[in-house]
Amino acid sequence: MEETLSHPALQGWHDIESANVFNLLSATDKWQNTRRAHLLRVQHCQKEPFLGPISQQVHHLRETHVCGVCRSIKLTSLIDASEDFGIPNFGQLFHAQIEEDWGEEICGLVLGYDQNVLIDSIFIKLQNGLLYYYQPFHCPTSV
Amino acid sequence: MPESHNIWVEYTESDLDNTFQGHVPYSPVLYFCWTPPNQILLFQERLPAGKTIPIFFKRCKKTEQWILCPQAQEYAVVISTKYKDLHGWDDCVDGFIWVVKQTDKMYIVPVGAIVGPAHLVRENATSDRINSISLIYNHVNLDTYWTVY
Repeated sequence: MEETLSHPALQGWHDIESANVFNLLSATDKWQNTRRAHLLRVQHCQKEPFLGPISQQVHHLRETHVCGVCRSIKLTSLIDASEDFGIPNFGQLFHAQIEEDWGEEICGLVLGYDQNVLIDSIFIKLQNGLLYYYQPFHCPTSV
Repeated sequence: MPESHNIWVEYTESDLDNTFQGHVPYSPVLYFCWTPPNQILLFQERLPAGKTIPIFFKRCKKTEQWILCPQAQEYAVVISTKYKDLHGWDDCVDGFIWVVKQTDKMYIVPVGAIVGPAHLVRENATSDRINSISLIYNHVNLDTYWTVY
């Protein structure tokens, strides 16, 4: 139940009370809801409502990022990673992805056009996992 | 080949037959970062429309000046899956959505396109076939989950 309710909260369809229950408040929002902040607002006769809309900058709404750097291996070449992880065409896949990201011209200028050379000269940093900031499960209502 | 978990990835290509609400489950093999060389900043004008190179400012220790650097790009190498039915339609008999893992096809996807973890249950847990069939377990029994955890 809590999971189902937290999904609309993450999508922005929430009020301050539900955000408070799910611990989605940012530091600023928490500060604004303290007793002292309330007293100050009353003293200054501010017209703004006491329970204002919360800001969206909560950690649940950040993008997914890699985490857990392999400290024993600083950098590894594509050819080594290809052998270690059983990825036969790693160079081609990498070239194709960079081409998709930045276009054929930039890809050629930066990486060169020879994919055999590329696989030796490109060094990557291996990561152990991901940091998910989204819901822990796929949403039952949308999947 | 190490396979520990499955992930939902937002699909950006035009093959809409093999997506379910724009998402495809993949099995990640490797997560990695790659920092582009600084010379890539010289070619920013040649970028196709709508494409950008993420940058950040870094303080140089020698000159004590702020310099522009390209940000590290985060990628994942994944094993592809294909929906058994078009558009990820559910099976008419059991109502589950089935996917076939295509171990011969790998892709690199940006980590930003990863939506979250996916729960795939292999049809026959003991079989170790190349193209194994799995169902997408999409029903989370929340009462049980919150009781246990």
